[in-house]
Amino acid sequence: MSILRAERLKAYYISEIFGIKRTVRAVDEVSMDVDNNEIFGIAGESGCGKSTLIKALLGIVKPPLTILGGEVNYDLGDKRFNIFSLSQKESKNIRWEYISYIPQSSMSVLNPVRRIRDSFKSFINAHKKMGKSEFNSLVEEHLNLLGLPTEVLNAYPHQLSGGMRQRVTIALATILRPKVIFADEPSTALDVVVQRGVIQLLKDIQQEQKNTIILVTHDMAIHANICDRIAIMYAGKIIEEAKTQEIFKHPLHPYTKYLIGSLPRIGDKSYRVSAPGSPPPLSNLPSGCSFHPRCPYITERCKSDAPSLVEVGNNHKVACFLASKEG
Amino acid sequence: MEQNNKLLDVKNLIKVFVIGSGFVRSKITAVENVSFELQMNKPEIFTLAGESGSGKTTLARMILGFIPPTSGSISYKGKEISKLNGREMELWFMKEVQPVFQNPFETFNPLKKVDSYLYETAINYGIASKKDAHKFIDESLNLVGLSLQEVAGRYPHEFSGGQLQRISIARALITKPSLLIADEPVSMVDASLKMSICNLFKELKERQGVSIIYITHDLATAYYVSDRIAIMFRGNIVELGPVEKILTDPKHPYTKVLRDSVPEPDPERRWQGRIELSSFEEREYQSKGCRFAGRCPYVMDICKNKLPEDILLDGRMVKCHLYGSDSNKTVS
Amino acid sequence: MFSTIRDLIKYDRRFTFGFSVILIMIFLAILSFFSPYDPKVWNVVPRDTPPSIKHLLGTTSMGQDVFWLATFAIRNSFELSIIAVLISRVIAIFLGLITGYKGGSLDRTLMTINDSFVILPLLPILILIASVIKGALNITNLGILLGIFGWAWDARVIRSQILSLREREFTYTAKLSGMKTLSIIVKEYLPFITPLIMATAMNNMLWVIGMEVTLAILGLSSLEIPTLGTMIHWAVNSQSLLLGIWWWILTPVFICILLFISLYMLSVSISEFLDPRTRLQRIEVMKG
Repeated sequence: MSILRAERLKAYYISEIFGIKRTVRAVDEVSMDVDNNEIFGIAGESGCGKSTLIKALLGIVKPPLTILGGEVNYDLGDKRFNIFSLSQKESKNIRWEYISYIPQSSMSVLNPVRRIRDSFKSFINAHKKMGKSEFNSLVEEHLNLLGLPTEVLNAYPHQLSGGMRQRVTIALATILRPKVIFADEPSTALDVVVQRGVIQLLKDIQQEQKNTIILVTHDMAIHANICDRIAIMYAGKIIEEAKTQEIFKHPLHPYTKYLIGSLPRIGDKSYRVSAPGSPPPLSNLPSGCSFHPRCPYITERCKSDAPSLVEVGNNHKVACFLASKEG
Repeated sequence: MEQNNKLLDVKNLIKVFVIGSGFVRSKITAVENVSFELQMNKPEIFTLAGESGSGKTTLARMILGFIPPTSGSISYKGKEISKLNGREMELWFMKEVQPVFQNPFETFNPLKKVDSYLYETAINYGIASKKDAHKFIDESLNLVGLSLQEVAGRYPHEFSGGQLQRISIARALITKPSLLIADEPVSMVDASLKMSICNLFKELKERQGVSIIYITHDLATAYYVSDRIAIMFRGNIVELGPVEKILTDPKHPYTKVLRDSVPEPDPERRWQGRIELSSFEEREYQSKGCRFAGRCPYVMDICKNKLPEDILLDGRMVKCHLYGSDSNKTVS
Repeated sequence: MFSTIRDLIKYDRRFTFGFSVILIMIFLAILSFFSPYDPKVWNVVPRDTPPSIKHLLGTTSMGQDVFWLATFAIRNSFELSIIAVLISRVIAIFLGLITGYKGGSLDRTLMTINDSFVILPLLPILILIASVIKGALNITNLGILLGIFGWAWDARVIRSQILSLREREFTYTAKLSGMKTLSIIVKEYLPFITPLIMATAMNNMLWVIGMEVTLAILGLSSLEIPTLGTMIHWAVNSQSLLLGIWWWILTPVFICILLFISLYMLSVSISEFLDPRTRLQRIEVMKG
C-alpha cells in the first residue's frame, strides 16, 4: 500500500543577487512511490539534491526554495493530503505524530538548556494531553524497548555522547509512533561502532512499529544493510530505483554501476575504478542526460534528450536510454 | 648508523593535555606510549585507524611538529623533530613532510585563487623561480591527474571536493616530500571520487616512492589502500601489523568490534548479531588498566589493573592480556 | 573597482542614494574654491535676507551668504574627517593585525592600552582638551585630535576577525606553503577585512563630523572657520529660529542629516557587497 507518493516534483532554488539570476535545479521532476512497512533508501552524493528532496517531501519550503510543480501526497490511513495544501496549524499537528524527521545533527532537535525529559514532555504535549504517570510509563517503556537507559531523561544533552544523543533523538522522533520517519544522514557524523548501534536501532523500530522509514545517506553500505528498496539520485533526478539486492547485483545505470563497483570491501584488494570527472553543479547542468559527460556508453541522443525513469521489469526502474532498451 | 635507516621513528610518545586552570584541572592523556617506525627506501602506506578520541589526530599533529610531545621522541631521517633549530631546519622538515587535510573546502582561502598556493609553495621553498614555477606546478598537477590549464585563475568553489583534494595533494607534492600525512583525506569526498584519491595514493607510493601515513576511521578504504595498519584506542596502539592480517583476522577484542561494525556493501552480508553500546563512557579515561576493559567481552581481572604489554603474535603486535604470558584463560 | 561601483549603482538603491548625495557634496565642496565671498569676513552682503535669486539660501545675521558659507562648511568637514579617519584607520588596522596574529604578551599589553582608550569618556575629555587649546584648534589639529581618539573600538573588531581567521585551515595551508607572517596577513586576511575597514571607516567619518558639530555648538572649536558645526553654533547663538531666519539654521542641519544618512547607506551597502559570503555567490554566478 502506497503511503507516500511524489509526482513530478520540481523544487528549485531561485535567487537574484545584484541582478544576477541563479537557478539551482535541486529536485528536477522527481516521482517516487513509498510503501507502508518498508525501509526506503535514497542514495546520492553531496550536491545531488537529496536534502532538498527531503525538505520538499516534508513540505518545509522556504524561499529561495520554490516548488515549481508536482505533488506530494500522503495516505496515512485516516488522513490523506497533499503536503503543500496544509495550513500552518495542520502541518504542526502532523509533525511528530504522523510524520517524523531525524536530522543529521541531534542538536537541531534537542534543546540544549532543557533536560531530555522536558524535551519529551513538550513533544508529547503538543499532540496529546496526558497525565504525569501516563507520560512516565509511555516514555520509560519506549526507552526500554529501544535499549536506552532511563537515566538519560534526567540529563542535559551536552552530558551525553554524540551517539547517545542521536539515539535519544530517534526515541523522540518515534515515541508517538509516526507512520513515516525521514532520517537524513542519521549516522554520518558518528563513530563506526556507534553508527552500527544507531542503524540497528532504526531497524528495530521499523520492525516493531511496522511503519515506513525513508533513509537518506550517501553511504551505500548502510543502504545495503537495512534498506528494502533504494532510489539513486543524481543531479536532481532519480536515475535508478529497485530492490536492494537488484541494485547491488544488477545495477543498470552507468552511474550506479560505477558507484557499486567502486565500493571498497575488506578482504578484497582488487583495483577499484572511480567514475571520471565529477558531479555537475546543480546551477549549471549539462544538456540532455546529466550524466552524459562522464558516461562511457554515450550516444548522440544522450546529449540532447533527458531520459525518463521507466520500469524495465521486476520493479526495477532506470533513467537511461541504453539500459531501458535492454530491459 | 642505524638511526639513518628509519624514515620515521616514533618512540614511547606521550601527550597529556591539561584542561582548566587553578584548582580545577584535569588531565587527558591523548597519546599514551606509542611507538612505531617507517623504513627508509621502503615506501609504504601506513594507516592509523581509530574512532574519535583515539588520539590519532593528536599523533599526526605531533609528527607534523604542530604540537610538542609531553615525552618520548619522534625522529625523522635521524633528526629529532622537536629539536629542529632555526628557519633552515624548519624549512627542510616542512619540505620533507607535508600534510593533506580532511576538508578540501577549508584548505583553501575561498577568496583567493587556488593556484596562488601552488605558486607560493614552489617559490618559497626555492623549488623554482617566478618565471618557471608554472612548469613545476603543471608537473605536480599532472601527477594527480590535473593540469595547470584546468586550474589556473579559478576559485575554490569552482571545483568539486574531489578535485580540490587533488589540488591539495598536488600542492603537497611540489616540494617532493618523502612523507605525506593524510588526515581523513577522503571522508569529505563524494563516494564516486573517493576511490580515485585512494588509487592516487597507491600510485604515489609505487611510482614516486612517497610514504604515506593515512589517518582514518574508515576501515574499508584503509584495507584497500594500506600496507600496514595500527589500530588506536584511547591513545594506545592496540594492534599493529600488515593490514591483510589485522582486518581479516583481528586478534584484539577492540579490533574485532571495530571490524564487525563496518557495514558491508553487500545486502547478502548484513550485520550479524547485535551490538550493545555503552551509555556513559567517561570512565574509560580514568582506568589504570587496559583502556578497553570497560567494554571488553573477554575482560579478566588483570585487565582492570595492569596495562597490557606489546605482545608479538602471528606477524603482528597486540596489546592484550589474552595473549600474554600472565593470562590464565584460554582464548576461544 | 569601477565595475564594482557600477554594479552597486545598478542594483542597490541605498548605494545609489548615498553615492549621489556624496557626489553632490563633493561638487559643492569644490565649488567653494570659486566662492565670491571670503567666509571669514562679515557684512559683505545685506543681513537676514531670505532665499532669492541673488542669494540662493539667503543670508545670515552677520552678513554672509548662506549658500557659499555652506560650501566651505562642507569642504572643511570633509577635510577634517579625511584627516581623522586616515589617522585612526592606520592605527586601528596596525594594532588589530599585530595583536590578532601575534597574541601572547604583546597582545595582552596592547589590548590593555586599547581598552583604556575604549572606556575613556570621549566627549568630556575632548571638551576638556578643546577648552584648553581652543585657539589652536583649526581643521588640521582637530582632525589629528579626533584621529588619535577614534581607533580603539575598531582595533578590537579587526583583532577578533584576525583571531578567527588565524584558526581557519587555510592559514595552515599558507604556512605550509612557506608564506611568512606578513605575507599571510596581507595576502590571506586583507580580503576578509576590507569590508570591515570600509564599514568602520564610514562610521568613523560619521562620528568625526558629529563630534565636530558637538564641539562647535558648545563653542569649543575655532569659531571663525566655517564648518557645519560652527554654522549651527552661530545660528543658534543669534537666535535665528526665534527671529524667523530659518534658512540659516536649517541649511547646516539639513546637510548634516543628509550626510549622515548617505554615509550610513554607503557603509551598509558596501560592506554587504564585499561580504565574503555574498561575494562568492556573485563570482560563482558570473562564471557559471
